[in-house]
Amino acid sequence: MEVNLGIANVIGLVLIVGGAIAMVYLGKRRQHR
Amino acid sequence: MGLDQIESIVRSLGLGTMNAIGVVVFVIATIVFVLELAGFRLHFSRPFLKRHTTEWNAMALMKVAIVAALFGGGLAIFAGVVFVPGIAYLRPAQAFTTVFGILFGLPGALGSALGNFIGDIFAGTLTLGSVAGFIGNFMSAYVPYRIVYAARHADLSSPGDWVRYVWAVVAGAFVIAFYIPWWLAALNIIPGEVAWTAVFGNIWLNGLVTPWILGGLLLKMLYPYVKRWNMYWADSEQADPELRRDDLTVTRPTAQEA
Repeated sequence: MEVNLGIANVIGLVLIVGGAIAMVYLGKRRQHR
Repeated sequence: MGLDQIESIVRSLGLGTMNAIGVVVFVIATIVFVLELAGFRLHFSRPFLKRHTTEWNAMALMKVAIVAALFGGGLAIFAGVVFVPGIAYLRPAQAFTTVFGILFGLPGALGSALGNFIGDIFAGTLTLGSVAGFIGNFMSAYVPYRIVYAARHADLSSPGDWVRYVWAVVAGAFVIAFYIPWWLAALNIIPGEVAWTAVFGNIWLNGLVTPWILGGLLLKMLYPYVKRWNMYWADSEQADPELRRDDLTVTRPTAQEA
């Protein structure tokens, strides 16, 4: 299957950064409760 | 030890031996996977089968999503470094499976399975082999989780904890390295020769090197935060207090007790 690696890399970065932000946000919220 | 050495070991063992080990690993791991999703856990001592404490509540599902995003994203970034076209590529993100298996438990393992699926989509490696990739990556998080298990080991506060972590990575890599090639060879997705001489070594090294180095550092760094945020698996699942106690946190009364 032909894939566009440039797009895959960008999506990969977005997922990593998004995942990290989500984890920290959730964690902080749970800590303060 | 590089790929060439692994290949020569595989050749001296013979493809028959590899297939024999592969089928045993495949059957046991698949049974464990199905049982875990059905809510049951196998143990080495009596009673051999017990219900586990994981509930698929909102928190668990968020953990699944977070791990799937981190792992899938991490895989996609390095998807360009291909070893076996359509099958194997450089996967430093494999460190996430070990770390989040140990930190999040079962939701972390399911997140790894989904993350691999996402990675396969972006790397262009989504084949029938991805079925084994799903369960194989579940196991590569699940095995370290079962071996490290307690918070006092997950905190990596002593040399003994590090030894246990290194062993957990070896065991996890062993399972995934036999699981996926066996499936690829059995279904003739790629020739058995290639599955055992090329793919096996790639998965084995991907499952060892970065989980040892990057994974160890990541676990050491993330554990105190995850524990403080009440996201450590034993805390989320209100497991046995013995499993939740670590060597870093000084015991202090909780808000309710104070």
